[in-house]
Amino acid sequence: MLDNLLIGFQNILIPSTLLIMIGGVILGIIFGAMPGLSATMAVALCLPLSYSLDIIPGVALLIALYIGGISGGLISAILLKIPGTPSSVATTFDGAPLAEKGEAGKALGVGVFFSFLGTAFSFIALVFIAPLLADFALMFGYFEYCAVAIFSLSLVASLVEGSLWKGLASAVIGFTLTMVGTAPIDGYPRFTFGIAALGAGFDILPALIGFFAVTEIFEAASSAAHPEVKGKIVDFKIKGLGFTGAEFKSQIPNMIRSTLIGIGIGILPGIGGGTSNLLAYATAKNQSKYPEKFGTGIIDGVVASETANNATIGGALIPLLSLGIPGDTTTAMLLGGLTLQGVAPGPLLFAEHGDVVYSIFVAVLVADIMMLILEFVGMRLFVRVLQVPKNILLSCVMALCAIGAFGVNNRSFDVITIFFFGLMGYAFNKVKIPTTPFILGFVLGSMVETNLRRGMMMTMGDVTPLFTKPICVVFLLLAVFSIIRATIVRVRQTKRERAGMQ
Amino acid sequence: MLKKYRDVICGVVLMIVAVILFISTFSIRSLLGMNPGPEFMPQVASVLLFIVSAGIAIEGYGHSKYYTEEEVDDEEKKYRSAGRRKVLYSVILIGFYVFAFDFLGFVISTIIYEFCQMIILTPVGQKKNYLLFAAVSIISTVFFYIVFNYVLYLMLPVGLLRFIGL
Repeated sequence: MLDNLLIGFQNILIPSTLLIMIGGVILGIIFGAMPGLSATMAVALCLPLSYSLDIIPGVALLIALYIGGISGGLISAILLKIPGTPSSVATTFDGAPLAEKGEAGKALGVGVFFSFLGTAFSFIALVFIAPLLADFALMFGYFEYCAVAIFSLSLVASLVEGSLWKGLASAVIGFTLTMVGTAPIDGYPRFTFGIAALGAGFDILPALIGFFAVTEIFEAASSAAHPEVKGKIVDFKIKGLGFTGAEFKSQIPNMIRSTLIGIGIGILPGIGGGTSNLLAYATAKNQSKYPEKFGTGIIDGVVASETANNATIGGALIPLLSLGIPGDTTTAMLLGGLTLQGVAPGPLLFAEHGDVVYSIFVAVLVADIMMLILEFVGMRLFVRVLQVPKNILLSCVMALCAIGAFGVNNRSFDVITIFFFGLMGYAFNKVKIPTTPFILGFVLGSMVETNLRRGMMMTMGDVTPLFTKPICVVFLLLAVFSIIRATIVRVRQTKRERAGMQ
Repeated sequence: MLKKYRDVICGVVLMIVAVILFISTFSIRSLLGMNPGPEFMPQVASVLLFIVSAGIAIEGYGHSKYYTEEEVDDEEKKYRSAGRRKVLYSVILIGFYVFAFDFLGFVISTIIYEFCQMIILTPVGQKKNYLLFAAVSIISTVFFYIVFNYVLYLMLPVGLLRFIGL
């Protein structure tokens, strides 16, 4: 493993790659810091760019964007009280009050430093767990893969907030849309309505760009009807790291716990920083000796949130690299980026492209260090960028979306695709159908179908191995269990709400 | 009334979609006579969709009993309808943009798009700086075109600009 890591370092520590990564981290931080833009969008928009680079600089760029993006959210969370990305919602709870008390420098210093630690620890987890999981996954056959994909879908659908039925519907709709195009194995055209361009089905990249970026533009249009309440940016001073050695020592248990939560949530497919920051905050509050102080402006809240959301990065990369199942929406984009380069994530990735895998690991560590340095040094510049008006910014972002979509296959059909997925995303939001299960359904849909049909080909149409093979049974039972658990939780919640209302 | 039964309507619409989907799978015939054929998964998907949509509709019906009409003052009502209008304009504009992308070419369609979108996204009550919007539209579009076409070799559609020999 050590020599693999050394190869990874050799691949990454080239001046041109490092320069590209610095650019990626900076762009990622900007996207992460701006409310309305996100890490996922940053990765989506730079996918065509990564494609025109060689594979290792290309993937390193995407990783740099990812890390910068997740971390950047804390800047606006603390200074504007608006989370730059969903991963930084909990940072506003204590980060903003700290800023209001005149301690913005401390909040920012704590946020950046513990973001760095979160990613660094998850890097260690990534290096040790991913190869093990990949080895285990090599035992998987077609039916096992199908069962894992079904489990992932059920998990995502059941872990979303709100209606379980809507979560499941979201996953099923995403899953159904993968069936547009030629069927796997026998190539029969399905749901193409005679349109030649639909023969290849919907490409995941335009779908994601449409679903996340274009939907944002519609949402921005809706909220632009309100006169703008310009968030006042709080001024700040940072001395050194912003916090003392004693404060750091007091946060170590919190940090360890939040890191573990972040990594765990990251490993679970489909849920990412958006969930881990809130869970870590809630846990820190529950286990704290002074829970009543949470929300008034204590660093514990910022530490929990920012450590967890950055730890999720390494965690989310684990299932992506070892199983080919994205850990969250940004890694879903990474999946697309890797596939574009002809490198299919999954257990065989370690065997066939080990240098790429370990270069990714090293890229995580290097980008993490870059983020730490750049955010401390360049904080004031990033704050300046926050002041670009949204209307100008989003219009340019849409142009980049169109370029990105076009660049995937060099056809205008993909540009039209982003419009329809944007409409769909907006419709989902209006009816409060969660969007994450849709993406997972879309990504995993073909995995389920191809593997199931291949498996059934080998068993001459017999589907029973899916329900009898031991690994399959385990995952299917876990799927059923997660749905039942989710139902019980919701029934209890509704009963409590009804009782509260009476 | 619409809001009260929003989930029910959503569920019912999706149920109808599921039924249409299921019926359409009957025309899918495997060329290789395989079992299961390419119609299998679409059928599974449409059945699942039907079940979950029914769940949404039933759950929505149950929730509708507890529905309380939201108190919205007149000013908020004005903002909401203005918001809906802005969304509609954006939908039409982006629809125009994606279809004109190829025909008009990247440069022309993007300049038109950016300029109009900036106007739409300007918050109500804020002054629209048309000069700034025009300048940013043109400069950003040209910048993207040069970077992507000549630096990254991603050939963007030239469209009508081919008549001036680009």
